[in-house]
Amino acid sequence: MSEPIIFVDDLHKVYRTGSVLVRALRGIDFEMAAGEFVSLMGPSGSGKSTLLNLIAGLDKPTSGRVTIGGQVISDMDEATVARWRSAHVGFVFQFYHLIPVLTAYENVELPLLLFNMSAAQRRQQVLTVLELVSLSHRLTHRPGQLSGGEQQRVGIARALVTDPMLIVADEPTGDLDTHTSDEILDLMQAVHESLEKTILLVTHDPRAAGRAQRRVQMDSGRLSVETEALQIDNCKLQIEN
Amino acid sequence: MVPASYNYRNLIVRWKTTLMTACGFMLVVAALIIMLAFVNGVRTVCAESGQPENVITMKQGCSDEILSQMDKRMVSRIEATPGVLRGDDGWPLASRELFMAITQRNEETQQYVQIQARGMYPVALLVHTQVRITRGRMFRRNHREVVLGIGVAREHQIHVGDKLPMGQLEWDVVGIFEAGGSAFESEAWCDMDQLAGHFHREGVYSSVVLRTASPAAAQQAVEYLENNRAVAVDVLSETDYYEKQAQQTNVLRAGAIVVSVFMAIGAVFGVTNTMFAAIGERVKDIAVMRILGFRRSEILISFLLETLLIALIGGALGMLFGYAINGLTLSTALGGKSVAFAFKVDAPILAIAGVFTLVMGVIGGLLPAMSAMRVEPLEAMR
Repeated sequence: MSEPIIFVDDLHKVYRTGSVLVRALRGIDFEMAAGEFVSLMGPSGSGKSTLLNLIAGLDKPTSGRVTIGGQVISDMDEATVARWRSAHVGFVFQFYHLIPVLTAYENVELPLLLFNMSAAQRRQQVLTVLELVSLSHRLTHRPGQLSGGEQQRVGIARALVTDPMLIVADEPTGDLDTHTSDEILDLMQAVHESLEKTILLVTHDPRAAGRAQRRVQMDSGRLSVETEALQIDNCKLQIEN
Repeated sequence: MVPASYNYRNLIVRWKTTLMTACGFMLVVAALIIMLAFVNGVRTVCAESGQPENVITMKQGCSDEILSQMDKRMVSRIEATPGVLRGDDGWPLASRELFMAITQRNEETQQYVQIQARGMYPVALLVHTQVRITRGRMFRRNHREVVLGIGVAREHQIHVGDKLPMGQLEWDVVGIFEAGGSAFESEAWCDMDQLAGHFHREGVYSSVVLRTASPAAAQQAVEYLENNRAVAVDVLSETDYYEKQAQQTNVLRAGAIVVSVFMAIGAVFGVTNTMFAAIGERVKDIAVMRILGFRRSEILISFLLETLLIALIGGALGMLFGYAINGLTLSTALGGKSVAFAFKVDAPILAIAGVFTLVMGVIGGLLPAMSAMRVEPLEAMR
């Protein structure tokens, strides 16, 4: 196992809903190694998406620290963390969230526009990742012209195009049928194995969680169980049998 | 930066709304251009009417020739002003002129038309040197003949050889003249004695125009007459006189701006409304871009540019429509006269329209763009 690159120390998150204070995270300590594939499971309201958002630099903790690649991202101001995010984190969403008026190519190119790159360099990178997700034949199609599975492939290509150190996926198969879900999970696993990407996957689906090396269970804002990959693989085999 | 293709494709997707909003800008810009072109056209006529070497004198207290009446005695004193050039015959180049606005009923159309007649002596052509007979010939002394300015000839469709009714008689149109686009082109010129005799104005003059050697000499003549208590006249260099006439258009210009500003407020509300609706439909796009790392300022600029794009489409259409009026000739009242002018759309007017468009776009787009900038990604994605 590689050295940890993600350190989450005593993370608390409290937010207000109307007049009610909600304690979403209650002191999370968590680490991820470089190249590790971790799934985060738990019931609705357990705090898994909150934790994912804090690790991805989308939200600020009430207290505690998130350190990634030696940088304390929980202390960064909004503009700095935005640029950090663009360089180091790739996002895969449940509902793909592609820009409807842009083509598949342009959607994938979007994150690269934040970097000082020539059009030729951008083109090369975009074509490479679209080839990786087997969508080279759909470059000029808009999201509305693609199936759900194809849209999620574009979403994965967009997450990969900046070659980030971390990919966070929030219910990436939540809007897909079983067959397409399997294809997407195969793709994510392939990305993890061939590109050695660090992946944090939030899911309700045990089958999806089973693809990860390590499964983390959350409940009421705390980590409740951690399961090693081997056990998950056994479970998966049992389910399949 | 957010790619511009994102903005223009969204405008194309919502093309009906885009077009309707742009039409608001188009109307404002077209109206502004037309109003300014009107003012510009009238000012151009005034600017081209005066010659800096000429001095115009009218009876004291009369700001316009139509009100001025001077007798022979006063006119003779004016002609004796030092610095006035002399012709080959030794007489001063001083043009006595009788200006009259004659309202005449057109028997064919049964409508009343106004003819501005200027009675004069042959010396007038040596004083008003910008005047050229372009068709036919000059009127003859003691004949009931007129030469028409090109503006009045065009407006009333009168040609050389036609008869022009003035008073109880018909006058022979013997020539057409051009005067560099000046107010003279709106007049009918004829023999002083014929005009005065027919309208019982013998011995009465509206103005005397003196020809001097230079603008400085004209200024000296003005000062001389102003300080001469023997002549009770209002005296101005001809350029100053027409500049004063042109100042009447300042009110029109101010009115044009005020009307345009009020129209612009409507257009600005229109584009603000459109953009708020557009942003409401696209909060998820904005959230995704923010999550991917685009800064708030980049979102602000993107949506501001989108509004400016709508404004520029409308502004360009407005300029196109506004420019279509360039060169169109009409008559307007200026002082006591009717002046033929051509709408003049020039580069400064187009520049003003362009700036106006941009200002409307920025004002209309700022609030929606700021609301786009404030979208909280996590809330928007829920």
